[in-house]
Amino acid sequence: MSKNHTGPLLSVNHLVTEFETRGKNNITVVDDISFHVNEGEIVAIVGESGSGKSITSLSIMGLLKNGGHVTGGAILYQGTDLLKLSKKERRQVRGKEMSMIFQEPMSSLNPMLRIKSQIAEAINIHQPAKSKKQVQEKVIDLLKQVEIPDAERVANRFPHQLSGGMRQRVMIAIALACEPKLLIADEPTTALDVTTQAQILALIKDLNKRRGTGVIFITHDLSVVADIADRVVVMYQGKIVEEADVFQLFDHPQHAYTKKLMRAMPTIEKKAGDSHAN
Amino acid sequence: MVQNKILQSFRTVRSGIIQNSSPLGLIGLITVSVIIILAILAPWIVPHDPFKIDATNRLIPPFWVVDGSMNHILGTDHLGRDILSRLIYGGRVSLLVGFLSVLIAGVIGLFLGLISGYFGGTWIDQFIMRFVDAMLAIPTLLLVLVAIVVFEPGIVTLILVIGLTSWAQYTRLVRGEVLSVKEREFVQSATTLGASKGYIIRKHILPNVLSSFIVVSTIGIATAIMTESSLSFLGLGIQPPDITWGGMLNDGRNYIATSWWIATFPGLAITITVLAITFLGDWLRDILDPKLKKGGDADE
Amino acid sequence: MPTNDVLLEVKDLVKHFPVAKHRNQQEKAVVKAVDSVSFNVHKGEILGIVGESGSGKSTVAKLVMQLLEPDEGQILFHGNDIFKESRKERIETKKQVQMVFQDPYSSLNPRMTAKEIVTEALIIHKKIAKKEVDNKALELLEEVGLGKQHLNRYPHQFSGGQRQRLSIARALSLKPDLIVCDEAVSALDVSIQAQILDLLKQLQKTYGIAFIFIAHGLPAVKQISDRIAIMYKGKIVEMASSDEIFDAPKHTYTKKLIDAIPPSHPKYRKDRMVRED
Repeated sequence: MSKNHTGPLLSVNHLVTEFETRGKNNITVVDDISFHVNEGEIVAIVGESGSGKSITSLSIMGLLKNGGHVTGGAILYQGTDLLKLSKKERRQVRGKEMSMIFQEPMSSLNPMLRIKSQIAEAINIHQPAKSKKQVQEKVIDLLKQVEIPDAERVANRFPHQLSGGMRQRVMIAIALACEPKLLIADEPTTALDVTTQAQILALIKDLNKRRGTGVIFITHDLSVVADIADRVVVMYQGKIVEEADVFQLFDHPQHAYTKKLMRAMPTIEKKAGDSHAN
Repeated sequence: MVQNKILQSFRTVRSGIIQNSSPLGLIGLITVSVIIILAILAPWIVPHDPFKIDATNRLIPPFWVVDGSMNHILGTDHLGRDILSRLIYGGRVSLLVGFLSVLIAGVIGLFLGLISGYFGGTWIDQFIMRFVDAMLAIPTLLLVLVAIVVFEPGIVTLILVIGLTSWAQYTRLVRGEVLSVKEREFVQSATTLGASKGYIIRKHILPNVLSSFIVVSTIGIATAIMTESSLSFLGLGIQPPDITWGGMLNDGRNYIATSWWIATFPGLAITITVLAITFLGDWLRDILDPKLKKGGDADE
Repeated sequence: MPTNDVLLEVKDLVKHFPVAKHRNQQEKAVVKAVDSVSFNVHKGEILGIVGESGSGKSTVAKLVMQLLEPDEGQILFHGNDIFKESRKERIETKKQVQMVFQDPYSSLNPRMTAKEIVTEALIIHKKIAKKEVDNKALELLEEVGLGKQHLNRYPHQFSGGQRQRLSIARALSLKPDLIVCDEAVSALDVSIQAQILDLLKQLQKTYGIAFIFIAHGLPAVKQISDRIAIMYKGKIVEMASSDEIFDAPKHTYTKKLIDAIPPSHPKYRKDRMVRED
């Protein structure tokens, strides 16, 4: 990765991802999409289930399964095409340069391991030279960074002893372990309570501001987009139908599908705008 | 109604064959079908009388070996009996024992498993499960040996004994499945519709545990065939002159160095049958899943 | 539309669940999942109940559905205490109170077709002759915006939104007075949620069915509820008309819930507190 690269942090050019089926025809799930993420920017990918938004993120991470393959295009990370890397080089990019958090924090954590071991593991994979004490300190530091109160105690807990919101914080701590420049969040708040969702969104915004981490935020919920994104990519049936700055998108949605999503949004503020001022 | 259901399941199997072209499953299905057909038609298709002793034609090797003859394709045994004919007759016993003993074990196991699972945690469940534990703690083969010593060895005894000693594993399996299906919301939903316990078990729980049950049962058939063969090999199973593959193996034991074919073919028959039934079981699991049935995709 | 006639009356309802006993505890430890909850549902009214995980809202639903027995308190339906009814009366009550569950993937039997699912209740209660099944099923499917082509499909062939429509059709089949929706739209995409909410609202208008609509967030509830009850740790902390809740929330927890609603436009963004408490 060239250190003095100047273009966008990540640019996806004409990406095509297909899935093999038992029959003859492959299914195209991501169909010739292009977008980019600048350093320190939050880009939201919006779409319904089946729109290809999650497959896009898995393609970028190189985590496609069940017969999925990238069959066209390029994924440039700081100018380097990830698709041209060897498996080993790709693995080094994963975790170190970019990492990912998922919807269900419970199934992403190993139920048999203490929180501190799971975070330490993430540190050790890419920075094995660190001493045990350094790793411990780093674990606590990470837990503090994701605003977990009483970090020393939580580090010794098992996943089932934590609430959903705490688990998602731990997942974010693991994702941040190697200080990646890009964080991909795939519906990280869908399974959470609303008040917890608000906290996690605030945390991601905060990390983005403080550390300059670029974020791809995947969601089906436009109000979450309104809360967090700088720029928005709208996906429908495997294609990007609209891409715009977040204000521009909400003020002047162009595509019929975007407008449909807008209409489906529950609006609270119109008459209750002042009850927000706290 | 019943006809419809049968027709429906026939269609399921048929579309399963067409769509899910898993070669192993197909091989299993064809092999098992051929064995069943041969067993049923045995009296009309065997080239020789399988019981007829012929001292002049002892120990003839299979036809492709020197001294072999097309008259006895797979050769003859130490009493001059035709091996192929005996294999076909032996298949009848193996299949009969396999199917009927699993039928007995399955019916008992399914019934107790449904009750135990549905009333999970209550004294009924506790009672059934302790009984199951006791059954599973005693090795089946040992129970069978005791039973055979007490009762007269024969085909009926064998079926009853294998059947009555192997139901516990089905109870375990069915109970576990029921416990998990019971927690799914559609069962609660049926309760809120006002359905009775019997209705819920019959209509919602049974169909959803049946597929794993059938799969395990097919493998149970294979196990029963093995048990029968082992017992007959030990001389404790079905007694001569009735022909079984295990008994044939036993016959060939003393000649294995000089006339390998006497023991090899019944051994192969057992292996092939058990393997074929196992493949069939795996394949059944796939086609009994409604998700793999033909049909359009979701659209909104 | 809502009337003043009370359909369902919940009085001082209490439900405990035992929890694993700690080594040095003498008494049996319990969690008060529902702690002295009272509310009314009027005929034809949509009552929203909002609470987060652990608030006891689903336990209330299960008690109303008679899936659980309360430890204390009463539930009166049409003036009768449903837990004191005879077996026969209970079955009658069950017919009049139906439920739509949260998870459209596990609330439908995967081995039954759409036709069988929506007519099941009618067959259980022998309200329908065999030859009428097809017509009745089609009628119910059309009621919820599905059609003839769906009659013989299995649940896995439907999308999440369509499955919830099937659940609603099933709940409608006995012409109930009350339908309890337990997080019925939470698992769906936002745009599909709106469609399902429209459908429920329409059923309320057309048939005067009352709904208890349970959700973990306010936006969905606000769209359809006449009144909203806010639950927190087993208690109802605030109950008021939908407008009052949003315009003049009284309880701090209600304020917190409103504050947690993501904005509908980026211009309404605000910087929130990050820390979890």
